[in-house]
Amino acid sequence: MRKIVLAIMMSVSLCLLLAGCFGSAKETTVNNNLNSSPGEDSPADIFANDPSQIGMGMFSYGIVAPNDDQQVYEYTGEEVHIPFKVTGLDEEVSSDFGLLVFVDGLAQPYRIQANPAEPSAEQLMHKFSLKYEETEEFDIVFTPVSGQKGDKVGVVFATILQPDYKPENENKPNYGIYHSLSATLSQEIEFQADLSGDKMLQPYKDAVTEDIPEEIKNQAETVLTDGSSDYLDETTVNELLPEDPDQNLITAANGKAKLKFRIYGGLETTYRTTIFVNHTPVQVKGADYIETTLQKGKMNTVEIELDTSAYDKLNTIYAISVVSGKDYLTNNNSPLKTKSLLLYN
Amino acid sequence: MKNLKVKVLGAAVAVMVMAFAGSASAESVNTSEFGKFTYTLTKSGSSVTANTSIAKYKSSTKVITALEVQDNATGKTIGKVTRTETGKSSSSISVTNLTAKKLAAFSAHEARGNGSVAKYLAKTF
Repeated sequence: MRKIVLAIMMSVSLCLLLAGCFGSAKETTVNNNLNSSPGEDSPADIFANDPSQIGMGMFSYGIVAPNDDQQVYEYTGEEVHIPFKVTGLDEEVSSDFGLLVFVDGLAQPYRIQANPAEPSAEQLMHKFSLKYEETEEFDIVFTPVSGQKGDKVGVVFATILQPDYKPENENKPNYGIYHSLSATLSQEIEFQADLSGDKMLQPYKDAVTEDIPEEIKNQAETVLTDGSSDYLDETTVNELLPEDPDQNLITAANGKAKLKFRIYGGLETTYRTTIFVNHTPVQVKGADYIETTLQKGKMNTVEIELDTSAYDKLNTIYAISVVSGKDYLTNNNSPLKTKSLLLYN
Repeated sequence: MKNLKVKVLGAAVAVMVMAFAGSASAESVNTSEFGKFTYTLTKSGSSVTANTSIAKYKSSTKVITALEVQDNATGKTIGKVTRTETGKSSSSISVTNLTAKKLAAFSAHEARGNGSVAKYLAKTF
């Protein structure tokens, strides 16, 4: 009996060892068959080559600082310079992402300066495609879009995964995990001078306030399984909705697109929301951004009509909400991005 | 001969233990700000769970896990949730009561400090 058991265990061990050797080769072949840039596949097709698990990118990014404490940058009338670093961490695929900067809740145009003699163009989003362990270091350079002498405001850095992805047609409008947002904690900008120039971004502050519908509260409770029943007490949600809520895309008619923005849940906080079309901010009701102050149990809603006459047939629209004022010091839920929607023109 | 049998049996047991231990689904990366950054996306019964954990953190550090589960046949979102933990080492989130024959799950795993580390996964069950 002992000999039989020993023989069986030796056979199993030998099989496992051999499976390990050939298994590694097979896994390498499957990984090599994956696109070097997963953003070329629609969410419905990304499992076509490998039916199990797919890496969609991994990267790190953040300020270069002498310590782990929150940093304070001073605006003295000259451009702010923030040392920065990005690194690819995914062994299987290139990590593609777009980098955004928000100052006091507002989208901030900036330049990338790795070489003082060769500054980049000023843009709202700079895009990166990093292989495993590939690193870039540079200064983020900008004149703040908002603030006055004496202010102390938050500056936060955020990324959008695979920003170049766009559905191939209106019949497959799903973005899946593409365009997911990640961010750093806020650092601080201290204004020691007023901003020059008179062009200040203008807010829209007349959102409709109403109770959070019961159907939304019920949905929040049923999907949570970790014993918590206060999902909306702790979590802020922002959404862009088509005129027809059963649709998964926004369809324009006669050069106009109607949609709804709403934000609810979480702490009582002031958010500034920017609507982006193709990663470029657009005006809402003649304003540059929406400003809302959340109240417990309440939802803030803004009906929006966009002029789409200058857009192509397929466009991406989303909103990013960022806390403003002193709330950046304490609020967990910032920045927030709605899911990206296809704007079909 | 008896000693040889014991050694062979021990080696066989060791190989079997290592083989099964190696099939665990957690993956990790070492990072300078957060130490070992570990992420998992798993299914058990009718629930899909995503977890993120880090080894180094401060009171202000955030660990964020986001999970979206879709019916793989239709692409319709069944559940979409996010959990943020502040000043803790891990964050876990689940979508439950899943009855679709085949599911597509997308997870985002993130640690936020002065810098951020983000990992994105897609998996079918």
